[in-house]
Amino acid sequence: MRKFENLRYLPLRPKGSTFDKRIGPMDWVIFAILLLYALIIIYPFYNALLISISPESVYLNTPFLLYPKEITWDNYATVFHSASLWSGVRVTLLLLFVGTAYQLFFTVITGYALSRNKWVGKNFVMNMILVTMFFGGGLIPYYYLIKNLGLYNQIWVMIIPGAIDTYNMLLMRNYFASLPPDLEESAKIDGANDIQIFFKVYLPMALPMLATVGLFFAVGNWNSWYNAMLFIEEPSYKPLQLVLREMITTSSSSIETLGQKVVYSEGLTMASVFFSIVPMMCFYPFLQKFFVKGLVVGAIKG
Amino acid sequence: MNRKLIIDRNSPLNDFGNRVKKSRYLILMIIPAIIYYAVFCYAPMYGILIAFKQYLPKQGIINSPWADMGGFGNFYTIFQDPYFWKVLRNTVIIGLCKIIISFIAALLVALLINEIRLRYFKKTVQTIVTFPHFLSWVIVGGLVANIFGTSGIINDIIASTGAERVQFLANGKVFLSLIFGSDVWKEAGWSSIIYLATMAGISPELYEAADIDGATRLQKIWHITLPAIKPTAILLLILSVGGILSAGFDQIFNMYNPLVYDVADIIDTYIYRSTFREWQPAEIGAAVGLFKSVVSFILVLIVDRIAKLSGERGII
Amino acid sequence: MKKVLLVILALSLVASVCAGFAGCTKKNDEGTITIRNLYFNDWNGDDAYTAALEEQFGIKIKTSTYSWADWDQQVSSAINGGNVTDVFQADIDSYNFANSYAFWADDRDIKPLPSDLSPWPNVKALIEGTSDVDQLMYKAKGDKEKRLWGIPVAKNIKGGEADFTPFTYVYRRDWAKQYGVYKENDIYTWEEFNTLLQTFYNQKCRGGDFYALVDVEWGFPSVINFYKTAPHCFAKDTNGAIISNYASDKYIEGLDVAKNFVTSKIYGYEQFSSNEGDANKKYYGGRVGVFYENLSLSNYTTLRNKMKDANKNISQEALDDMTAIMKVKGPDGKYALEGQLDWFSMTFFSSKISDEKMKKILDIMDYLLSEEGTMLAKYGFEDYDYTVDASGKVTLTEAGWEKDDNGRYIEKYNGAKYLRYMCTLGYDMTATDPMTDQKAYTILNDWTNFMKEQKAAGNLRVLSEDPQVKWLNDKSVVKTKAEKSGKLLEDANAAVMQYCYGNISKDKYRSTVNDSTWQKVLKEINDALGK
Repeated sequence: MRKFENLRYLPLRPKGSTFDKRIGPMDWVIFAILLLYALIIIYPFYNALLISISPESVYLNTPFLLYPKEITWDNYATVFHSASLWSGVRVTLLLLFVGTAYQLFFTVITGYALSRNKWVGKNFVMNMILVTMFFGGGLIPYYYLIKNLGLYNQIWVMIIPGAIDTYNMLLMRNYFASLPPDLEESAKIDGANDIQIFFKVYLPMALPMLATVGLFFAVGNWNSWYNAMLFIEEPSYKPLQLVLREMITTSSSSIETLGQKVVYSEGLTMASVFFSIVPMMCFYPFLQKFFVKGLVVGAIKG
Repeated sequence: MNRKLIIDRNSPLNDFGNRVKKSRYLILMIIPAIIYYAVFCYAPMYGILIAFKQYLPKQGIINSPWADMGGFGNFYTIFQDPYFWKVLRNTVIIGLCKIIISFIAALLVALLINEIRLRYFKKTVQTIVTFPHFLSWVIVGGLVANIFGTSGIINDIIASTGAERVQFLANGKVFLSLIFGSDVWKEAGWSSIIYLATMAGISPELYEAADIDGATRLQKIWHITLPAIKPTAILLLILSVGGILSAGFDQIFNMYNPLVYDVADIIDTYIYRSTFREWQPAEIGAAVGLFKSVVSFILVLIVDRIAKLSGERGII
Repeated sequence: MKKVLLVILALSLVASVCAGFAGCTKKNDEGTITIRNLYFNDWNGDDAYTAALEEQFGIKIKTSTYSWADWDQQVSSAINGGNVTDVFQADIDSYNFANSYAFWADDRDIKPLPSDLSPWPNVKALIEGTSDVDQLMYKAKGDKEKRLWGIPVAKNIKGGEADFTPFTYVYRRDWAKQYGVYKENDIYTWEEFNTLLQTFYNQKCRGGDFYALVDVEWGFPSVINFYKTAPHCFAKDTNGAIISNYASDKYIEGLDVAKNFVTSKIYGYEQFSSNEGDANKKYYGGRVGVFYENLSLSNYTTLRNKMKDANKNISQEALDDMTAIMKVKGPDGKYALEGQLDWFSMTFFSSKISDEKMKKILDIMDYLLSEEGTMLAKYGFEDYDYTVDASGKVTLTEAGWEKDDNGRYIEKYNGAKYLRYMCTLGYDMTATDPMTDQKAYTILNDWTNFMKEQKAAGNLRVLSEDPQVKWLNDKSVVKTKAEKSGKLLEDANAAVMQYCYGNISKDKYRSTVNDSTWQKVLKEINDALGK
């Protein structure tokens, strides 16, 4: 492993230079396979998009829907007019910004402290943290905890319990450990203490990794619904994913009361699903390299 | 786990004091974490007791009476239940197959993408294939049902050839393939990233030397690429062993149906159904959960030991 | 420094212990009632009608909703975590009953109703008017007498509602007419029903994305109704002893018919699909000939509305033809419908609330069940939402009741109506509720009356379970039944499905639905009943 790590510092292979430059039949085969693979990935999205922009009568009566026969924006209009969805967006945005910053702060300082050598009790703390990756008390005591902390039905229940994510914390720790240690020593000679060294020396160096972990948190926050499902009663505190989940699953429930139940059509469901993944689709291509970086650091050196 | 848990006992006390003083700022930085783990992970851990109790909500966890047989009654009940063993078997089979299949798939995707020379095509493909990772299983499960259902596109194609429609979701074996297939669909691209990045780190000189020797493409893959990513691959395989008993609740739960319980019911879905659908008492679910934690933990320790014995780096 | 570290460690441990154990439970707030319910949908308790009720009773009402997707997790975690709202609702069906209702009562998670209900005459009348309610009287651990531990959300069978469910077939009369298999008044004998299905299959379905017969997800296999003698787990043999319904000859005979329907593709659609609602979509998407569904008024209305949306500009007659209700006689020449309970969910009171608060809640319920409260729930405020003339005729005002483009009244959030769901599903106000689709109501009502007549004439078999067996839940007598009946039902239903789709053999099926646990449960029941 150690020998291999050194390879990271070698220049990356200039594109195309290591291979024979002619494009042979094998290249076409690979090209075709990957194209097919990409199409298989895209097709369900395309299909969902088609359903969301087709009027229900067209969608229901056309078995092979390969292109839009008739376009309607009704479903999207309904989505954009839905108060609960927008309230979900508001909550999710709060989680996204406040939650991510909060999680990032605690995760990063913990990761840093655990990456420094030899302080009293470090191994003990580390082992205690690792144990929590396998053992937990289960739902019932957790429920008591949330209730007794006064977090029940508070918006903070979706943020506070997630302060440190062990996996991401370990990523952060590995990254800090991989940075050259002599920086620390020279700063110490200049009379800086550990906190100052962290903020002035290592944090600026860790910005790319910070972006990675921050993105992991952001995606997690964007997709989170479980804590909200258990602990949130107030409708205006429900995050977007929970609102969507309820929309998708209530479309079928049979309610025997006289209240006119809201029935979401397939098109509306798909429109709201799109509504929730479009932001990710737009940002993802630009942020991809950060995700990649995090995965690589985490796995190679984890 | 292999490291000594506590600092060297032989060091004199004042040395200890000095070391504490020296690292006081780091200790200050770790305090939030200590509090966090104490409150949110260790404080609820007394809930493990539920597995040994006969849980009465009104009494609370501590005051509920112990289960019979000195507290082990719940485990006796579970181990007596033949269905539990079936579920355990399913879990191991699905978990193992998933690890192997997704490992091979990710490797293949990485090799294919690595062989591409058009830079933009490469980037685009990579972006597309990693994206499904971010979708939830509720959505993916719905998509699978739509596509493979009797009125899905696959059946439309079958029907257009004049054949009868097939009920894919009714057959246990087909269903398992769907489980693995959709897992590959969702995760293979994402898992391939790590291999791709490792491949990018391989020295180009190795390939050039191989070119001079007149190596074919397959030979280069076999003799250069694969050996280079072997350490990473082994590490990832070890890491995934700890997750065998969590064969993917979200996925199975959103996809399975009563016809395939025989092959697709796993520990987590079994806990879920017995607790919430059949209103079994909470302690049974807690006992199964504890069993799962202990076995996973032991598995990881064993695999870690094996890895170390065979000269690889451990994970703990 | 070491001391500091130790102090900090100790503090954090203390903090964790406090967080985990400390009974810092807030005192129950006397001024507010918290209510959680499944039927509240997206009503949030923020309307003028609720405000009026709050003022009238001098108490704040705070409501929240369980979500249909997760209510089981939400209820059970709240109970287990000791955090239920003052008033909450949960489905208490026969097979969940023994495990939850009795368990909660024994554990005192819920509070029983006062034994004397005379201060609340309307509530008292409602409960007395609910059939089988004595089965809910439960002698909890440590009690001397049986008490009622909640209010069954009544359907009003004693008050004239049918005692059979509207689980029945809705079909495409237009297709039947087109292919010449239509029978007058939608009455079909078993042979005619089979012919119709076969015709639909031959004419319409073969190979295509069309299906002759589809059951709603939890209703499969519906054809078995014409064979089986009991709805769920327990049937009686000729000697009156209790046997496994699933293993009875009649049941297996019906199961073979269902299996045959699957093999011959009459059931062409995957009935085991875990996606609820698909069957509905198939029907209003025009791909299904005969559809077995719970035709409650709201479901039927929805089905018709959806059908109308999917087929633009169809006439009323065409719509009626597309959603006609079928009357099918079994091989024995009789109609067969599943029996209906008077309730399938209950409203519970948290054991933490004071007697005064409980009285207040009962006051509100009593008012909502009174004539005045019913008018409020149905129409709204007098003189604002509606006016009554001297003869008692009600006229809705334009200001209070808006209409949408299709001329249907727009549902408005009326707290009184939603709060009323705590004790009744409101079948008593269906006929005159402005939200009722009168056409759908008439069709359903005609069908119900027809079936009631048939029942009186002895032509209808209502499949219902012996209440004595159903509610037998005393753990000291029937321990296994109390603990296992939920699992028995779930396993048996899975086995039924697996058998119909050919995944297991008949022997395997038989052994699943009559295994040692079954034998044990059956023995317990028969012993308890003295058979």
